[in-house]
Amino acid sequence: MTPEDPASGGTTAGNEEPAIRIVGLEKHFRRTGGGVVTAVAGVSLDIEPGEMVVVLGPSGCGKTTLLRCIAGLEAPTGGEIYSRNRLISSGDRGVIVSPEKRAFGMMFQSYAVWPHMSVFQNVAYPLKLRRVPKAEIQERVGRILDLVGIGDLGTEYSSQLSGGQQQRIALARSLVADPEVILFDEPLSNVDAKVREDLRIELLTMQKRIGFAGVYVTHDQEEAMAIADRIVVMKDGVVVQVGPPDQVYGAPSSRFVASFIGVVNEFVGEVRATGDDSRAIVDTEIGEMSLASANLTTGTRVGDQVAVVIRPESVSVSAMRPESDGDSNTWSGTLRAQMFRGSYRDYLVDVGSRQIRARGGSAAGRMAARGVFDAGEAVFLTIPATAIRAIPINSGRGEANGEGSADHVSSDTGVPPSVEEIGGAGTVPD
Amino acid sequence: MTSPVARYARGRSWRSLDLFGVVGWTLAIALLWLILYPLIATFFRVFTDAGSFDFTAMEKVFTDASFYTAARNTGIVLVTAGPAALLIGSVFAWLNERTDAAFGVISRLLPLIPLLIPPIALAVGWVFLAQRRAGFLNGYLRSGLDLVGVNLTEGPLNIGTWPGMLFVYTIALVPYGYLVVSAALRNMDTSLEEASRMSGAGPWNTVLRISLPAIRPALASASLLLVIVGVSFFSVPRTIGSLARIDTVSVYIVRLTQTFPSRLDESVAVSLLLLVVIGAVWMVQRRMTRGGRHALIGGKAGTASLVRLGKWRWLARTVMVGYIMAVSVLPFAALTVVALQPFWQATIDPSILSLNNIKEFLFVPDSNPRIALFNSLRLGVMGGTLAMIVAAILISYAREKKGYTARIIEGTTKVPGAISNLVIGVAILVALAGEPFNLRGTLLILLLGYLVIYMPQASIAAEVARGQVGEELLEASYMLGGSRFRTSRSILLPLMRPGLAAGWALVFVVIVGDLTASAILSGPQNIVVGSIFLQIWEAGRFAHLATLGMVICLTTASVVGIVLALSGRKGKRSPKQDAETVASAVT
Repeated sequence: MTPEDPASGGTTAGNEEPAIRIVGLEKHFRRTGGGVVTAVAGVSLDIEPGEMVVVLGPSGCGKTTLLRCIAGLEAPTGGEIYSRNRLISSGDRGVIVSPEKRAFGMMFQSYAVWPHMSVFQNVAYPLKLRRVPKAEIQERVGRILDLVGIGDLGTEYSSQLSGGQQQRIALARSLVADPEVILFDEPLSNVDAKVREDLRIELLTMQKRIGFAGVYVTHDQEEAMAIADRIVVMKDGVVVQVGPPDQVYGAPSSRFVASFIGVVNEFVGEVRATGDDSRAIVDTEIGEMSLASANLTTGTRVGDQVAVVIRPESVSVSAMRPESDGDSNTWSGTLRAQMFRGSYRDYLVDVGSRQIRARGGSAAGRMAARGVFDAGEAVFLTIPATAIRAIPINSGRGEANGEGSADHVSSDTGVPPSVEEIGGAGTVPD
Repeated sequence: MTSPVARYARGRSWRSLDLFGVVGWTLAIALLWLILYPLIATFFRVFTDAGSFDFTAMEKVFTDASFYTAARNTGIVLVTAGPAALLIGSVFAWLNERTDAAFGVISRLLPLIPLLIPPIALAVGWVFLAQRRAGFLNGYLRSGLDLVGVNLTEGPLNIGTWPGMLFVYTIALVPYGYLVVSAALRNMDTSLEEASRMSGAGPWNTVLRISLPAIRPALASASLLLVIVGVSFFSVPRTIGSLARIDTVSVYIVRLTQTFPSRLDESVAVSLLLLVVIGAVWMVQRRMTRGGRHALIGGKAGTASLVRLGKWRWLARTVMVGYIMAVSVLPFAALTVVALQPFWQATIDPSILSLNNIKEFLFVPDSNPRIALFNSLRLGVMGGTLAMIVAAILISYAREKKGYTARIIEGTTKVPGAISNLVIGVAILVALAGEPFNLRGTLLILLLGYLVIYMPQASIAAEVARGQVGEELLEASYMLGGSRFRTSRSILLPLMRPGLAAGWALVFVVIVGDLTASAILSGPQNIVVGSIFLQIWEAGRFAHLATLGMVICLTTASVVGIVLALSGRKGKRSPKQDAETVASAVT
């Protein structure tokens, strides 16, 4: 209990208070050898009511640890977490509210459906603990099971159900007590692609309809972009970028974010002109590139080292040199390989000493009339100046360097390999 | 799933000569014979007469009043010490697997206790600690009470009573409960419990409503194990029970094998009854674990979020350390002091301590204890080696064949575990001691008995060792052209070696410390530690008893320690893993 704890418990001023406020959160693990691993290094973040925040990052970035700290399953080393201004965790003040008293919901990667309880009993459990009257439990569980599409499974046990069905039970269980916040620990990574797609859409529909705030941890950037209101990109225990999916994708703040989210072509170069009018010029190994000066990070000066990043879908491939419109960059190259990907096509084109990836819909208007080329054919690449971004190298925050020192020990999922088989090199005694 | 490569390799060698298969099946059949023949032969010898059934032995048992007393006493032990051991074991398991009271040392030591301090040493150690007059604890307690004005000439503790015996039964059985339950908790998907916490349940609710129900099969098998071990337990009732004048079925059976004129028939009849009871418990356990409504062992196990116990943490740790002391340091210290005293007394006078007993005991040639000790050590080495070779071959062969073959062979090695040691001992005595085998008084009959009784432990150790070797490692060797023999020699065996060594240590230790089979199968010509122990107990020569107990403890502890240390040094395996290998095979 803290002074600023609203004793009334009313929800009147709801919109102003974040559902979750994280301030300077730190979590260190002591390794068995004695060393200390920093899993979360000073994360601050507000999660607004009704908002779906996806925490995205490579394994070992600390995202699962962050989620488990919010849940109360892990005790943070430092920093504070508030839920609606109620202090639920403080490393410095030694406050740690146990998970059951935080009244959040949570979905786990391994479903965590209790095997000794029927589907109904699983979903009724949170209500029983809240001493909800029996008749009401019956009614609410029935309704929520219908809502997630497993209304007919109430009497079944989990051992007879598929992964998708089990995850629906887990979803129903986390929703049934109407928590304001639901935490998702990679809930869809164990189900197969088709079910994942369905569940993702249902999850999103449910979230918009019920209006809970969600914190969703995943390493799958496509999933993140599909469901997030805001994406939080983490690396090495630090938040490197926060923003709506289109912004994180379209305007990555660092080389790491650019390459982690989606595919990117990257060239290192030097700024030759900042182009106060509208066009900046960067010298790269394949020649000079002109880009919209708005796509240059503010404060960039002539002579700065930058990484130029270009998304493959911004690169058009054509057999004939396109007419110059003064707004695009054009290179000639040789087609090395192409891949049919269903709704689009990937191209790999040699330009000078480099390869550039391009992507095009096979019938897209801006593509050449034919989308199929022969390997070794001479082609032209066109990239609009507005689609090229330049990210400063070795300036600002350290994480801007995508190839940074990533020698952190992975402590992300908290899941050591369960079966310790003797395997790999070096274990065979002679 | 047999890999096509392995199948090809096998198919090819089948046409020439499947040596592995021949050896595997020969060993399996020999083992099966060694298990079943004595049981069946004994049954027919006792219950048939000239071609018709004859149940006079059974009638004699049912008209013997002391049988009913023994059965009642065993029943009392099973419904008191059994559940108590399961409860304490489960609490310790939960504390070590799920709370911040976890102590690496304790979780490693606890399952090893029966190996480091064999039950006979534990029982006698506690006699020295809490005997009515000369028990050390009583000595200290009395002088303590003296200070507050209470004068006692004996007590306050008395090990030779029902509470005393149940206490020692309980502390001796705790590791069995702990082992099964802690393994189940360790292998359980921890998100099951985390989901409960996130649903609003506190730690207590979570234990009762999620953790325990989810590991119900483990609790059922722990109960079964406790019944089997508890019924067969011989050391505690034979020593402490005799002080308290409490006979159990185990003592009753062994006595029947030793009386003259022979009452062997009756011991067989009681053994048969034991088999029926254990079979019934086994069926109950099967029923409880049916239906798959429980957590799958071997699922994804994560690092559990530890329950913070707050001020209870130190209490929990104190209790666990206290338990470890009560089953190891205290009895061993008592044995040592009595071994160093010329005669056993409640107070420790450093000036009279000497090594005389030990010298007299170990260094007089042809002294019975010395012969017995060497016999036991020899049997331990031979039995350990033989059991592990047989188990390694059978398990490797079964794993390669899979399917029915595997189930039959692996099942065979486990059968003795479901039969009381007493029953196996009696059957081997009846079937093999006399005509036509005439093995009475030989070390061979002891070796065969030990081999059958401890085959389940050897087999589990071999399974653990085999399980450490991933199938791909062998398939990789086949793919690169390695023959099966070559693959076994260069890949499989080296990788299994640490696990096999741990299994060897385990079998060695249980053979040296064995009391039950030794009491039944050993006579004046083939004395072993177990039988000489009982003789010394009968003679009341406590200094010798203590010396023998101490020597056994030191021997077994150092063998376990050396093997764990040696196998832990190589490669990536930690001593803890080996401790777990051994521990998981204890049951």
